[in-house]
This record gives sequence, C-alpha cells and structure tokens, in this order.
Amino acid sequence: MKIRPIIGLEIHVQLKTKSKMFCGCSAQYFGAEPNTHMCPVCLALPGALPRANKKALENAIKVGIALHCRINNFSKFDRKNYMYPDLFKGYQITQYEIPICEEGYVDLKRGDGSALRVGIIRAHQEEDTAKSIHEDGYTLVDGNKAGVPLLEIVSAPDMTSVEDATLFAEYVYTTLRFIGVSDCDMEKGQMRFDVNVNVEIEQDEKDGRTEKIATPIVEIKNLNSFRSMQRALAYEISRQQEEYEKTGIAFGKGNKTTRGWSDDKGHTYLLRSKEEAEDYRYFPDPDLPPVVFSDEEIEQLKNEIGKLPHEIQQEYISLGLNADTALYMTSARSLFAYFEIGRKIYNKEKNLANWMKGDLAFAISQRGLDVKDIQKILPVDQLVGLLQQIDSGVISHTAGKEVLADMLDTHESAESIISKKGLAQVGDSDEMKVIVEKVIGMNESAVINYKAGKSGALMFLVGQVMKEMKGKGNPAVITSLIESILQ
Amino acid sequence: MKLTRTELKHLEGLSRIAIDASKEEEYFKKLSTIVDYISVLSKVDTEGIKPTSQVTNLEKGLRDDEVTPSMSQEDVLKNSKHTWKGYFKIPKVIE
Amino acid sequence: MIKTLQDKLKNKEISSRELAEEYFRNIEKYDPTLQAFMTVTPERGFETAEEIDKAGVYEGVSGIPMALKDNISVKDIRLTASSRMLEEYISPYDATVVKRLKGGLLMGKTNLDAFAFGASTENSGYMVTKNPWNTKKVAGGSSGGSAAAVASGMAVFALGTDTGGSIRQPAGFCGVVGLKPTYGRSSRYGLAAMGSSLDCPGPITTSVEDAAIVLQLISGVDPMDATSVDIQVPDFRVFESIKGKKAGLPKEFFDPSLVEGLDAGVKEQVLATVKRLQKLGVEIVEVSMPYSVFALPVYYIITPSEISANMTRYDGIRYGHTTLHPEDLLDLYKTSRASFEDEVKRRIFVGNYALSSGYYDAYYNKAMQVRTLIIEEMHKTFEKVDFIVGPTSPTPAFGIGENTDNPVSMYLEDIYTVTANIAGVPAISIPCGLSDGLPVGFQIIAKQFDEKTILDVSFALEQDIAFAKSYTLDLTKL
Repeated sequence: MKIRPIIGLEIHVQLKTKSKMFCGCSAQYFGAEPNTHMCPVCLALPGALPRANKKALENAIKVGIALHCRINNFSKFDRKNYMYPDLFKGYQITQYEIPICEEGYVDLKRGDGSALRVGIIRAHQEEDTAKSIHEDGYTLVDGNKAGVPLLEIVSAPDMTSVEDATLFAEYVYTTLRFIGVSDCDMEKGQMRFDVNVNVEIEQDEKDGRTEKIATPIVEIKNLNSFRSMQRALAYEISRQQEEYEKTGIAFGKGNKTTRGWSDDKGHTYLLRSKEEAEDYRYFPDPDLPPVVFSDEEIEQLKNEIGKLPHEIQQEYISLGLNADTALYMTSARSLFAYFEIGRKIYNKEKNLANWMKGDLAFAISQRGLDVKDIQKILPVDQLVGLLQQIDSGVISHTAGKEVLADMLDTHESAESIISKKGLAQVGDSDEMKVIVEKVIGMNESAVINYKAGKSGALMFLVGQVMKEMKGKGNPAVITSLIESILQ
Repeated sequence: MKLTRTELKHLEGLSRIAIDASKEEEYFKKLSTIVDYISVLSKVDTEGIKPTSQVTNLEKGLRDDEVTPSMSQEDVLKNSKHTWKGYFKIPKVIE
Repeated sequence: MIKTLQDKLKNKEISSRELAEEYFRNIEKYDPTLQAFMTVTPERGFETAEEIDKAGVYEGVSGIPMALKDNISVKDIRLTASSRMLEEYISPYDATVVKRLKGGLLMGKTNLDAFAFGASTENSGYMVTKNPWNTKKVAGGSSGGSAAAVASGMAVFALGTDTGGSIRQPAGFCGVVGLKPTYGRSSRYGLAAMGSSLDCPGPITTSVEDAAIVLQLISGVDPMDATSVDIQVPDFRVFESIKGKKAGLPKEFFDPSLVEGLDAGVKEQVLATVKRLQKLGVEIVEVSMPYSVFALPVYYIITPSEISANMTRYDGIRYGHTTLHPEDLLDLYKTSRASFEDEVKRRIFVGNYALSSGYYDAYYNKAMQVRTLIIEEMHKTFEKVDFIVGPTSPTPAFGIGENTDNPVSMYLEDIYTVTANIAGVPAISIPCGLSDGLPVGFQIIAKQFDEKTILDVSFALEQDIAFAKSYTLDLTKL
C-alpha cells in the first residue's frame, strides 16, 4: 500500500507598509490599545470610501517577481461578500477575477537531494480582518488590524510531505523578509498558513490489480506557526487514512471540508461542511478603479529587489560557505549587505562568515541588540581589522573574542584595544625561549613521549608554555620553537 | 414567475434578514414582480460586449503610503451599544 | 437668489443671523405640514451665522441658509438616511461636499426615501414629505425633503443625491431646479452609499444661477474618493449663448408602446418648451436611442446589487439599531436588520439574487454588458447633437399612496432620468410649466463633464419661461 499526500499551501502575509490598505490609519498596530487605529473607512461608517495603498501593491508585485510570477499590468479589486463580526464592511475587498500576480514557481531541494518545484497559482492583494478575542460566552472585537494590507499566496498542490511543505514555507518566509516586503513575524500574526491536504492511497488488490483512490480534500485554516503547520499536517494525513478505512468515502466534487487545528489538544476539528459554504457573490468593487502598472514600473521594482536569497545562497556555497551559513547570510538584508562589503576588503570569506554567524551574532544577542543594525553595532571594516590581527598572529583566536566584546562596548578599533590592554602575543623572543626551555626542563616525561611519537605530548608542552606566558604566547611560534629545540 | 419560495428563504439567510410571517406573501409577490421585470434583459443581444463596471475609465487612483490621524477610541465607540473596555463586545461567535 | 442675498449681507442690509431667523421661522410655519426635515439644526445654523457675521467675509455660500439631504454626513449631527436603522447615529465626520460648502447656514437634514431607495419619500421610515403645490401629492424622491424645503422657502438651496433621478424628479415635482453632475465630478465621500457606480451629490435651487454657484463649490477631484475625476472645473457661473446648438429629442421618449402613461399635460409643456428652444436659435434633431429603454431594468439590477453589498455593514454592532441582549450572533444580525424599511429589504434581496452564483451571468454581468451598449449609444448620440431634451418624469407629482402597491410602477417613474445615471452623464431638471396645477419638469442631458452646456441652455430657457413670475406657490395654505 502506497500513501502519497497531496498538499497545497495558502500563505497570508501582512505587507510592511506605514498605513493600511485602503485608508491612512497606521498599520503598525501591534501593542496598541484596541480600536485606536480607526477612521470612517476602516470602521465602515456610512459614506466612507476606500483608496488603495500604492506601496502595498508595489510590495505585492515584488513578491510576485521573487516567486517568478507573471505580473498582470491590469488587475482589479472585487468584493467578497459575507457577514461576520470581524469584517466591518460585510465584504472584504480582494482580487478575485484578475489577481496582480499569477503562474509562478519556486524551486526547492529536499534533504535527500531530490528537486521539488512548487507552482504558484496566484498572489493577490486583499485586506486583513479585525481581531476577535473569544472569551467565555462572548467575543471581543478590536478593529486595529482591520484593513491592514494582506497578500494571499496560493500554491499549486505540488507538495507531497510535511518536509516539502516546510521547505516551501521557509523559502517564502526567507525570501519575503529578505526583499523587505514583510517581517513575517508569525507571533505578531504577520504570516499565517492555510493548508489544503488529501491523501492518495494505492492498494494492491487480491487479484493483482492496483486500486488508487484519493480522500476528500480538507482545508486546515489559520495555522500560525511552522510547528503548528507541521503537526497539523502530520495529524491530518494519518487521520484521513483512518477515516477512509472507516467510511470508504473518497474524494468527490464538492465534498471538501474545513477544519481548524488545536495546538493544545493536538488534533484538527470540523469547522464547516460544504452545505454551509457561503456564496460570496463576488463582483467588481465600484469604488476602486482598476490597478494598472506599466512594464517600466514593474522593471523598476524588479531592479529594487536585486538578487534573491536562493541565488545568493548558491553563490556563497560555491565560495565555500556551508549551507547553514549561506542561509544565515540571507536571513536579514543587513547581514547580506555587511558580508558583501566585508568580502570586498577581506578575502577569507569563510572566516568572515563564521565570525559573523558565531561570535559576533552571539555578542549581539547577548547585548539584546538586533542584527539589522549590525553595521552600526560593529562596522565591518573594524571586524575585518580584528580578523587581520588574528590572521597575522598578533593575538590568538581566544583573545580575539575578548577584543570583539570590547569593540562592541567601546567602539574602538581592534588595534587600539590590543595595544591599550597589552594583549599582543609575544612572538619569537628571548623571553619565550627562556620559558620554553624551562618547561622542557620541568616535563621530562612529556619530552620522552614526544620523542616516542605520542601525539598529545607536543600540545601538552605548548599548553604549559602558554600557561607560563599567561596566554600571550603565539601557539604556532611556540610549537615550532619546541620542535626545533627537541630535534 | 421566476422566483421560487426556496430561493426566497435562501436570500433571507444570505441577507441575514428575516421576513415577518405575516408579510411573507406580500414580499414574495412584490419580489417576483421585480425579478420578472428585470429578466427582460435576456432579450438583449450582448454577444462579445465587454461589461462596464466603471463609467469614468479611470485607472489607478492610488494613494501614497502615508499615515493620517485616526479617530479617538471614544469617537470610535460612541455610536455603539456593544462596548466593553475599548472593545466591541458581542455574543460568542461559534467557529 | 444666492448672489442677491450675499450682496445684501455685504452691504449690511441684513445679517446672517437675521437670515437664519427668517428661514427658521419659515420652517416653524411650513414644516409641520410639509414634513421635509428629519432634523432641524438651529444651534448649528446660528453658530455659523455668528461666525460669518463676526468675520464679515461673504463668499461662496457664506451666510446662506442651506438644507442637506439626510444621507450626507455632517460632523456631530444625526445621520438617519431616513431609516429606523440609523435613528440614533451621529456622524463623527463631514462629507467632502459639506466641507466645500463652508459658511452655509445649516437649517437641517432633510427627509428622503430610506437610504435613497425610492421616488416619493413614501419609503422613509419616518414620514412622507408633502408637495408644497398640493399637500395630497408627494414631493418626489428620493430627495423629496430637499426639494420641498427649497420650493417653500425653508432653505435657499439644498443638496440632494441622484442615483436614478433622485434630484431631478423631486425638483421637477416641486417646481425647482435640480442638477445631477457627471459621475465623478463631485465627491461621494460622506454620502451613505447606495449605487456606488451611479451616486452623485448635486444642488437643488430656485434658479439656474444658484445651481451653478453651488456646483462650482462642490466640484473637483477629492483624494478621499478614488472615483472622483481629476478634470478641470470650468467657471459654471458664466453663461453663454446657445444659438446654433443642436438639441436631440429621442423618439423613444414619446413612444406610447415604450413609455406607458406619459401625462398629456407633461407632453404639452415639454413640447412647448422645445419650441422655445427653437425660438432661441437651437436646431431640434430627432434622435433614436433604442437601448435607453433597457436603462431601467439595468438600473434595477446594478443598484440593488451594489446596495446589497453596501448594506451589509449595518449589523447593529458598531452603530445602528440593535438589541441589547441578543441570544446569539444570528439573532443580533436579524434584530438589527429588522429595522430596515420594506423597500430596503426588498432591494437587498433582489441584489443578492442577481449576484448569487448561478444568476450572476444572467443578471449582474448581463446588466453591465447592456450598460456598455447604453453608454456607447449615448456617445454616438452626442456626436450628432450637443444636448438631449425630454420630460423629467412621465407624470407630475402623483398622489400619496398611488404607487405603493406595485413596486415596478414606482420604478417606472424613473424611466426618463435613469439613462443619464447609467451612462454617467450630467442632467438637469428645470420647471417649464404646470399640468393640472402641478409643476412639470423639463430635462436637459449633456455628455460627460459638459455641465456647462446644460447650464447655458437652462439659463436661456429659464429667462424665457420665467416660471417664478408666471406661477406662484401659495404657501399660506400650508
């Protein structure tokens, strides 16, 4: 028996704009008192009219370009009609008939190396709803979120596993954050997933035939973290198999159902059956003229995007960075920009990248700072200055970490801190020779072991010298000195 | 008569408006008259004609992404009889 | 009248305050009978009068008593749209057109058919506005209150809204001037939406000059309304000669097989006015507009469809009629929306019907296609003529209760006016005579953004007809 899940994802992303989609209220509502980001338009008072936010549409186009979509020069807004307390107008302004972006794709590589292309059916502009807080017996509604620009990205059902869905979602997450159209902060509700999933079951019959059936499609709505998405998918895939075994109900026209996911209880539950499906009565919104962008305007937006994360990652891997580090470099535009400048003035890219991802990232987070300010926190030329001091042996790697911390706190250069604190490693000097000979004299057994070819002995001796020199000895120099003396 | 009683019930649901039992016959009659009247359009040949949803042939009408002042919370809630600590409060919505 | 009054104000012959007093007295005298006002606003009116008198600057409509149809938002004043749904709603903002009429003394908000759905104010949730010429007759609709207020001297000018004839028809019934500008000429921001692709705010006045003055003020693109058009606004207040222009007379307007019930008196007055045009040097051209017959059914599909969506915001939660202890959400919705008047409910049902899956192509989409045909036909006609003329309504003001049994017979009142709304072109109604003691409206339609031609023709005819001199309205009976 073969099981093949068929998965499609709908990703809702709040686009990063200053104002809402159809009015000038601030879209940065997180943490604000309820109902303080409202005006007649988003409150849906009698007589109010929408005006479309140009920046939101430009961001939508950028997403479409990044996902290899065709950008429609001409698209329009439609009304999706249904009454619900979080939808103040009683209709949502969306793009039903002609979306702004269509027919794109995303190329992914699975863990086992196989390739996966996920089609993008469309990406269209719409507006977010108000926030509902469900309490015991009543619901509270806060309109601040109502009208925030939302982009809905609809994938083709090309994914066949939880891994596939995760890869796709991560790709979209990284790319959209990188090109600056959204922060995709899921905790703040800036990105949500709906998954459409059913399962194809292939059974070998007793008479040698193979029977293939598919289970009814289920839409799981409002998954607000990667983990929820993964858990919900995994749960649903096995539930559908069990359900089919019990009921024998296969995929049929119109038997799609909608379910929600409970993180606490760890299972999906029925939301709506097809009989209650609302007739949305879509029609063109008469209050908004069609959206028109010329080829030149679209080209201009394409130039603003520049290179995409997956292109940059490929380039960096060919430079010698490992996949994780390459991914790290595209996790924020500031890191990419920082690394690109660094590369120009320092040719040990791997080293630079490792320091950025390791010690520098740690120091930044330790201080409660944000990597998006990395150039301000530690200008890259200063970091390069530090690395060069280590490369030329002036200080050890370990000492370098200490210097880095001081550089972040005092904004002084590496050179200046090293000289002020007298951290410069002692190189080949009489002082060192004296100590080396002293250590050799005090550790006869180690010397014997070294001469006998025992590997740890040399390191032990070097360590002892370093101890005597209070860490100021250049280990490379010490090692070659010991070797030459003991020859 | 083009309109059916089932359709009328369906429309009540879609519109979230209940027709008084005493007025049902009157509504059904009047609505049927209207539906029959507007069905006359089926006589017009519209093969290949593009629908017009906007008479002005305007395009774009886009707004720059600038923030404008919002209403005070007090003004937002002023006309409502369903408020609680800055929120609108309604019977629990069953998901 | 506006210019004359402003001259008096400038010369200190009268003050704004005195004007306000005079007009509020008229309201006290006539409104108990006419019932034109939903809300009378002496506080606001006198407040403005004081400011104007103090500043001593009289321009635009400063210091002039005005009435606004109660579907137009005025900050901190009740907005009912003449529906029980909004009985207690107070608007927190001004409509753009209200802002542009700064300095006007607000007499009050006038009665309409609930949410502007109707042609007589009989669909108002509160009262029927009577025609000042005969109180057993309707003032017309949906801007009946505004028309009656201006005709009876309770306001110098008023604003109405016109989606299918709602400015022109009541103006015609009440013997005053009513102008519907081109769709997009004036802002819709702040007008409780009815037919979003058709609604136009416009002036109702006692003279063509006054209509031009008000139109001048309210015209112009508005950043708050994405459907308002950024087109140059000419000076409407300067009138030019119409000699040598061509007027089209659609033969469909007088075809009894297409328009049943065209009143003989109306026909007589309209044709007499056409003769006046000829005398003024205008060439009359017979034109044919066969698609115009379908304008009415197109209107009664498109408007209810847009209405059904525009009315879904009325759920009693953020504002509007509501119950304090609903059982559940559905109960909350139903009890709130039960406050809608019957015609409102009917149009919501028809709209949802026309938009629902299975019917969208046959009704809504079809209507939008026929709309294209009507617009094209209108354009072609304006290649032959400069303006089109005809009656405003098939009959003069009808009796209260006469058309309320059959909704379609009420709809047919709009048969002459609707085409201009569907095509988005400007049109005016001016009084041209009486039929059975009731005013007859003469309609002039021009092409998109050509309000100038309409005003030129109206002005010339107005001088010739001298309606106010020939027929006086006896207000003592009220």
